[in-house]
Amino acid sequence: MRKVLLGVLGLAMIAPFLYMVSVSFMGEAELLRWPPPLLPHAPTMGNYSAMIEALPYTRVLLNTAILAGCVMVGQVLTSAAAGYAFARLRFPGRAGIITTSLAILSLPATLLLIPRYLMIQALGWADTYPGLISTELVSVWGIFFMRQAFLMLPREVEDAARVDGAGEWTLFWRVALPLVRPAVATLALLAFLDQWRNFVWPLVITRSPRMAVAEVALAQVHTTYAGNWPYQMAAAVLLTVPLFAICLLAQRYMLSGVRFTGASVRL
Amino acid sequence: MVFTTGPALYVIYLATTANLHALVRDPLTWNAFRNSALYALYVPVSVALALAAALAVFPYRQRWGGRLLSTAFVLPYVASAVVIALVWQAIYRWGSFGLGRADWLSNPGTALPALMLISVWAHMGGQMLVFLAGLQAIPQTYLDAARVDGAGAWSGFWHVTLPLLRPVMSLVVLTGVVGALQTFTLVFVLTQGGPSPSHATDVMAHRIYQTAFGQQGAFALASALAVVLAVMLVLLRWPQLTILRRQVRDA
Repeated sequence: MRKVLLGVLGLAMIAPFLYMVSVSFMGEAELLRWPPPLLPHAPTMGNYSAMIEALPYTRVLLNTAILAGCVMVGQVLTSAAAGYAFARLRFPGRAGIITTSLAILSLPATLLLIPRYLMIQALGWADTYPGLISTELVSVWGIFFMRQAFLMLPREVEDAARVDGAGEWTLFWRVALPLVRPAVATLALLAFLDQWRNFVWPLVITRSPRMAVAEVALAQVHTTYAGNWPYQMAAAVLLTVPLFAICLLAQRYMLSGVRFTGASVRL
Repeated sequence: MVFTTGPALYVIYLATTANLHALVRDPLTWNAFRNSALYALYVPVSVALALAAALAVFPYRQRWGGRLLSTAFVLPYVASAVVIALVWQAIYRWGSFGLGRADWLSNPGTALPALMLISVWAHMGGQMLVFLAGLQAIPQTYLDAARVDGAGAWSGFWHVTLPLLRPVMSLVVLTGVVGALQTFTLVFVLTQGGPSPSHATDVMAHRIYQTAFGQQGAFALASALAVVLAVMLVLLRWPQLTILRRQVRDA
């Protein structure tokens, strides 16, 4: 009984994705029938070739990869450095500085959307990669996540290195950072995923189609081809496959990250 | 920090220049608050379902079936919001029964619940994984001890498991509510705050966006709205920050 319920639940999680794939192979006329068919009558690849051209797929992938890649590297570096400083370095007013900066950094993105837009606009960075990327380079939860990882390291390792004459920078870069590699991988993965799915910021800061990232391009397809479900589903599949592939490859790093964030989804 | 502290001060300045009377008098402001509050009601539903699912999966977690299920639950968590929106719009087409009747998303009475249903589906998986990890952290000896003392499955859950899950629970609920109050993409893609001419799904984040980047271009008014929303979110997060501060002090 319990197994049946679990099976139904699992199916409910996957079914929408199966339907997405199924519709992406249908001809446009097929969906006008009632009830709408669950499976394509005569499967066609036409929707995919049309969408690869219309998105345009390679350009959108490139833009998304640039955004997600740069932010991933940036967040790993800033989070590791700040996390290490907050975990290990002793300086006056440390607790106060940590909590204030974390409080400031945890201000909701909705609050910062408008002033950031106006600032980037004033800098002349609207509709450029620097404008797209620069605001996303620091992440509170990344800092806190790395801090936790560094706190778990035994101090003895660093003490031993210090006795051997290593400076603070060497300690961080050559000793501590390599030891928290799993945490770095988790953070890198989640930062990448988060930016791949970033919608609001690219929506307001980019205008031209050649700057469109995955989510913005998909929303564009949704309005341009309203009612053409096979087109929309094909575009959705094209932009989801890379995402699922990355997650599958890095599944074990993902789970620890999901737990840490309390499973926030930006809808 | 340049892209956080600066904007934070700037947005407060912008908010002070807004015509607050116009904002308070505008029924759309109150409508957005109301819709956001209603919309956030899906959080307890998805959390309860996620907890139930986690408890059900827990005994099988090491077997292939359990792992397969966990993977299935990850998919909605990983999928992007626009993809989720598009897929569900295709699914909701079935709701019109081919009679040319308005489907759930095009009916002012059902549009918001339809969005809430999508949200429950999208959040459940990730939340279940968090609960699963939380359950794994509970030492089996505690439950064994309770059983020796004569506790049944139900009272073992009620008196041992649930209290020990409380930190996980509050994290999940808090993250859920904070996220729910900032929902934008679903509304923007699926209903544009409508179905027009109603404002049945016009939630806070969408109202802020429309005020600033819509036809009005009223950045000051939108900033004022954003500040109000941010104050609400910070108050919600206050317990989390307090815990954080204690941890930092004790570290």
